[in-house]
Amino acid sequence: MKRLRCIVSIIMLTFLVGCAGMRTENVAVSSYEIAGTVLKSAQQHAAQACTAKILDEQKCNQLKRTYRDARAAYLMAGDTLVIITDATDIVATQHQLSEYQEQVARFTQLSSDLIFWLTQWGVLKDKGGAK
Amino acid sequence: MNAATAQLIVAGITALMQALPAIIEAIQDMNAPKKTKAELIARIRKAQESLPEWE
Repeated sequence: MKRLRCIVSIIMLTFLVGCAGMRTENVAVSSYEIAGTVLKSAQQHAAQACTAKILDEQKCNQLKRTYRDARAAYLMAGDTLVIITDATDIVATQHQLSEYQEQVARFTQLSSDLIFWLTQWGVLKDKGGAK
Repeated sequence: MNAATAQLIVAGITALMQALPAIIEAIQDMNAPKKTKAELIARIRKAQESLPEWE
């Protein structure tokens, strides 16, 4: 477990150091890319577990629904981020920002649910064997 | 996927949330060159396209 924490800490530190030299918009877009990558990774593992019949149909349907909703929230957040990045009107942008916050909150909730179920159902495992 | 990957997923989501203050700052600094904006938008679109549909 110590090793895992160490690896995660190193990756997060690398990310933060990398972000330090970036423009603020770049930080937002990089974070958006990372969130997409991790959701994609979770989907791939969930899909593999369903294809291999490790999970029953009911659980797979639940995972699919959650992934689709998380993906939809992610895409909407991206569209809003494009508007914010391209904006020149501060008032309009602040309205978009509150929409972005709502979409990110929804995405975070759904992604957390997806990870929780994958962990609960044994798809995500610790290398040491503990769930 | 193991626990370390799961932790990375959570870290990624947290990173997205942590980006919000950065966006607020970005709103106040909208003098970025058009080329930079175009590059950022292209990256967002690419990230969107990378997420597969799950039938």
